Amino acid sequence: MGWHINNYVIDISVKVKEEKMEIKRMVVLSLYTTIALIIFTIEAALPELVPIPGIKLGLANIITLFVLSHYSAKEALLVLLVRIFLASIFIGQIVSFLYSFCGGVLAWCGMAAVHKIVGKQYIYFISIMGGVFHNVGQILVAFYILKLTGIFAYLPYLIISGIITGLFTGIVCWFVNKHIVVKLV
Amino acid sequence: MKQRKDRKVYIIIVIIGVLFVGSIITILYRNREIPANPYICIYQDGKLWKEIDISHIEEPYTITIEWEGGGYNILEIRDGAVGIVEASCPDKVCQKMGFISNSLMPITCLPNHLMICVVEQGSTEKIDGVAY
Repeated sequence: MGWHINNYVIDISVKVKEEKMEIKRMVVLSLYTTIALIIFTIEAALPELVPIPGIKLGLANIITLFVLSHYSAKEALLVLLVRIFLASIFIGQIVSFLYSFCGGVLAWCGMAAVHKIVGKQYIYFISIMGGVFHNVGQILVAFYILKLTGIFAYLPYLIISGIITGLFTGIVCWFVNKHIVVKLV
Repeated sequence: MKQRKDRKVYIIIVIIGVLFVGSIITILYRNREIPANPYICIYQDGKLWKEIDISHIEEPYTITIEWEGGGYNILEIRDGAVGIVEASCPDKVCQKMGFISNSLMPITCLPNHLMICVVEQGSTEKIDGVAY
């Protein structure tokens, strides 16, 4: 009889502990989303570096990369989608939501694939792939809207800018990973 | 195990390198083409809206292109070059792109569904543009 009760108590305490971990993880992930949202908003206020549509630094991707390397691809996708959705409510229009969404999802696919292939110590390759795939996704949306093949004239520029900005965010994320070694659940 | 991973990393480096070099070569290759008889194609929402010969223009002039919902773009046409001088879109990227004189980089204004490209008269570029 006593053994049964003990077992039950242990069972409950494990469950409570797991639930606590889940909630804690959710809170931490939403904090990351908030940071990404702040970075995204600040970046939207900065002037463009190059007057070519679609080229930007993509600093908010640092958080996606960070979550990808500290948690898993699933959590990174969650943070990314919530950030894009909230960002387009706060600062964007419907059109920019479509661009960010397609670019973001495609970038996530590229990053998750490279993450699976080479692992998290090569964070800059993951980031570069993310940058390139993001820009390719944006061009595909532009093609869907304009329905002109001439839009692909931008592709080489966008690939080069994706590699450069991806390398930049990758290096930033590498430094972040180096300094924040503690995993908050 | 370690060697296999190294090989994968090399493959990724090669993919990125090929993308980078390929893009640069494409840009350099297309940069050489300067049209002798340039004319511009203005596309709105995927359809050819207007074609203008810009090879002999003495006096620069502007035309206004309107888009639904009060959107507009004002184009300035010079001798052999075209650019957007005023636009209703919020980011003004099309305005900042300046004047173009070859097919290397078309001007687009995505909020107003507008695209302008300079092509050589009688080239295949035009067919390419409306291939969809």
